[in-house]
Parts: sequence; structure tokens; C-alpha cells
Amino acid sequence: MNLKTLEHLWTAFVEGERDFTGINLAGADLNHWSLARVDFWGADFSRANLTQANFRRANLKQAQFSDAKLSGADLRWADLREAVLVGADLDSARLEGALYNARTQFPKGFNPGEAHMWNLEPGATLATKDLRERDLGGTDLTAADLSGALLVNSQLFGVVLKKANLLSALMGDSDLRYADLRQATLMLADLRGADLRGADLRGANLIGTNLRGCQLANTNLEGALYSDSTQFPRGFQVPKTLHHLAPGASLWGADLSGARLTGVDLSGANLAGANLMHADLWGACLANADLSGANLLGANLLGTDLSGANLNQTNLMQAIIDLPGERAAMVSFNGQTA
Amino acid sequence: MDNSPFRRIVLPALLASSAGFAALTWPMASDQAVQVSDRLPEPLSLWVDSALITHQHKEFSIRYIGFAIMSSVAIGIGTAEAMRSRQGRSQRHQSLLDEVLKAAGDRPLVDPSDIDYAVAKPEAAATPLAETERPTVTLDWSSLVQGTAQSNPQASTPAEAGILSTTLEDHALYHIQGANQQQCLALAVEGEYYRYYRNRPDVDKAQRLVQQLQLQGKKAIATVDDSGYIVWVRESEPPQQAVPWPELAIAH
Repeated sequence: MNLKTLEHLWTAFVEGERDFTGINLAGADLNHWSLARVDFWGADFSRANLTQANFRRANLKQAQFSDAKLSGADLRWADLREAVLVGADLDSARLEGALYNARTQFPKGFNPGEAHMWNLEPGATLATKDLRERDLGGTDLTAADLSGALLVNSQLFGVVLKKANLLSALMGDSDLRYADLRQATLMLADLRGADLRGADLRGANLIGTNLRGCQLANTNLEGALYSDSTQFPRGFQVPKTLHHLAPGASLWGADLSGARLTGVDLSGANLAGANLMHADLWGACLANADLSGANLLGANLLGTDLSGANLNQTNLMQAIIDLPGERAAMVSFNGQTA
Repeated sequence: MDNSPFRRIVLPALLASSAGFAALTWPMASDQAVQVSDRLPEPLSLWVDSALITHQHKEFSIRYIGFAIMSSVAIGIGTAEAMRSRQGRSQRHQSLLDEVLKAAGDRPLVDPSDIDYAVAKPEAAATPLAETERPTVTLDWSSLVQGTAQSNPQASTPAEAGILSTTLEDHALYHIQGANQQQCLALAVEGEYYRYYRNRPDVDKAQRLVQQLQLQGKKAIATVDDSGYIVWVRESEPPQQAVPWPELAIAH
């Protein structure tokens, strides 16, 4: 590490440069430097003095911090996935909301959970978390809970969000090209201006989703669910392969397995032979619906209005059903199941 | 101790007061005062003469000492007041600076005017530039990254550096599952799988990243699209599972 490199860093930073991918700052003295939001992907900070440095929201993915002094450093919301922190001094460092994954190497005895860091992995619980303007491209977040999460203007190219819960998530202006959103719940999500070209949204739940201004060229929407409250881009011709969920809708034989259909009004709908296995129909209205021959194995029917529904040969095995008040009270009293 | 009020206010006041007293009483103590007073012009010479302790001026000299004491005290008080006011201005300036730094939290703790542009651009060192003539510094980042790209001169063209002129649609896309059981998007090129690595906004950055990865022993390529370049890294081991990306049949 020579002084000239530091001078170059200063000069470029002042000129507005924020992309320092792969820069070699091994052994540098950067204590008290403010480098928030700077892109240091793959940079080398080995043995560097980063005491009290500000790396808030910085991209430190794959960066090397071996034996670096990070005491008192601000690493909140920084991306530390696949970073090497072995031997680093993290005393008093702030790491709340910093991202990590299974390949992040921490100092011995360090617990990222105690530091309130966020683990980005399949099935992660990241509800309501602030992940805006992040480069999360290619990340596998299968079945992750991102309900209410802030993902505005994020780089999500090729991200795997299969079966993820993105209920009410804010994803406007995000790059979701070639994202895997199969069977993802995008109910009430705001995707205004997002780029969904080439994305796979087969079976995704788009009920109440705002897709205004989205780019949907080459987007696979086969079997996706939408309702009258779904807002598509202006002039978009909704393909017939999508399922329109509305009172009296014809959904004969549709595959709605695992779908979150909470509070949906499907009164009088034709769901004969439909696959609703493990669907969440909590609070939904299926009054007078035709469910003959439908598969509701393990479906959540708590609070579902089934009055007048045709349940002829309907598979309700392991379905979660609430009982009428007096019956439930009796079950509770006797300690027995119905 | 360096920033104590004693050092910044009291000590200068004491020194100024002492200096004032010494200057005013010097004619009374010095043997050379008579000779000096002879050489001084008319009003000053009379003033010095009056301060000399002689039998003729004894009463006046005592009054003069009182005057000197009062004057030196006034000098001390004046100096203390001046120093206190200077410190107040300095503190206000510092607090303003702190606010500016707090507001511009994402900037480094360095004043742009402190940067030696001649160092950044050696050829400009001979002729110092005016404030308005600062050069636009163009940096060659390849000299700063680990394992310099310049050390690989044979890879001078984008094609040689692994930059493909083809778009993503020209290749078969897959979802692959590696040893860590995690899935990711991959490109199939000549029977090999290239895992998605990163988007880059321009050809220079894409080329630099590809070369950097190549120097780490990884085979990397980049494809072009309307928003820049996409860098892909070859999977060293065959994936456990490779599922073709679905037919992109639905377009509007």
C-alpha cells in the first residue's frame, strides 16, 4: 500500500467516483474516513487501519478485512456477503442490518446474530427490512419472507425469489430481469417502473399488485393470479393464461396450490377440480362456489366463508377449519378434537 | 493543556500586560535613558525625561508608576478580551464545519482544496494551475486493483478479454444448483455453465472485472445488453442440477 494509491482514492472520490471495485488498500490508514455507500466489491483492506471509519451502506461483498482494525467502525447496512473478516478487530463496530451469508468469514467467536446482522439465504426472515438500492443480483432467496420489505431501486437481476413472500413489498424501479418469481406472493406489492423482462412469474400472486410502468417483455406470467385491483402497464394485453380472481370467475382445474388467497372474494366461482393444496384461504369468501372435486389438502380455511359452497367430493384432508362457536367451545372444554 | 483557557487567554494577557509595564517603566530603570531621551524628538524626549527618577521629578515619577501599572492592567484586560473573542469565533467556525461534515456524511474527511492535483497528474506539476483551472482527473483504476489488468497486455481487445458481443438471448439460460444447494441463473456456452456474477455499467468496468477474475484463476465472460454488461463466471464443477430457463413464449 503506497501513499499514491490513497491520493488517487481521495482525488477520485472528490471527483464523484464511487466504484472502487477490487481496489487494493491493504495496510492503508483510513481511520475516521467517511466512505458510506461506496462500492468496494472485492477490495483488499487486509491489515488496514479502519478505526471509526464509516462504511454505512457500502458494498463490501467479497472484500478482504484480514487482521484489519475495524474498532468503532460504522458498518450498518453494509453488504458483507462473502467478505473475509478473519482476525479483524470488530470491537465496538456497528453492524446492525449488515448483510452476510454462509460464506462470510467472521473472527473467531463472533456471532452475527447478536450483532443484529441480516443473513441472506433461502428461507430468510427479512420482513419490513430496508434493502433499497442494494446489489442483490443472483441471490437465492427462495421462500424468504420479504413482506413489507423496502427493495426500491435494487439490483435484483437473476434473483431467485421462488415462493417468496413479498406481500406489500416496495420494489419500484428495481432491476428484476430474469428473476425467478415463480409462485411468489406479490400481493399488494408496489413494482412501479420495475424491469421484469425475461422474469419468470409463473403462478405468482399478483392480486392488488401495482405494475404500472413495468417492462414486461418476455415475462412469463403463465398461471399468475390477478384481480381487478391489479394495475398492469397501460396498454398491456393480459394473456389468457393468467387466472383472474373475481366473484363468479371460471377457475376450473386451475393450479392454485400454495397460493396466498387471504381475503379474496371468489363467491360463486367455479373451482371444480382446482388444486388448492396448502392454499391460504384465511378470510376468503367462497360462498356458493363450486368446489366439487377440488383438492384442499392442508389448506387454511380459517374464517373462510363456505356457505352454500358445493363440497361434493372435495378433498379437505388436513385442512385447517374453524368450528362454529359452540362446537369450538365444546372441543376446548373436553380437550378433544372434533 | 493545549486548549486550556489559561494557555489561550490568561497567559497572553499576562505577557502583554508585563510587556506593557516593562516598556513604560524602562526609562526609570535604564542608565541609558538620559542618552536616549536626548536623541528623541521634542515631545517624546520630554515624556521620557519626566519618567526618570530624579530629585526634581520625584513626585511625578511616583504618579507615573501608578499610570504604568494602570496601563499594563488595561493592556492585559484588553488582550484577554481580544483572545476570548477570537476563541469564540473559532468555536463558531468549528461548529459550522461540524454541521457541514454531518450534512455531507458520505464525503471523505478531506478538503478538496488540500488535494495535490500535481501529484494526481504529474504532467501538470510544472505549471501550477489556478483555482478555476483544475484538471478533470482521469484515473486508470487498473493500476490500483489487485493484480493489475495492465499486467496482461495480450488481452487488449474486449473479445480477447472475455467480453462477448452477443446478448443474453443468444445463449441458453439455466437455473443451476451448486454444491451449496443454492440456485442461481447460469449461461451455457460451449457445454460449460457460467454462473451470474455481476452487472457492470460499461465495457471498461466489465473488462476490468473479467480480467481481475481471470487473474484469480477464474474463467469469466461478459454479455452485452441495453443496460450495460453482465459478467458470468464459469462453474469449476458440473452443477448438481441444471434446469433450463422456461420458454419465453408470453410477450406482449
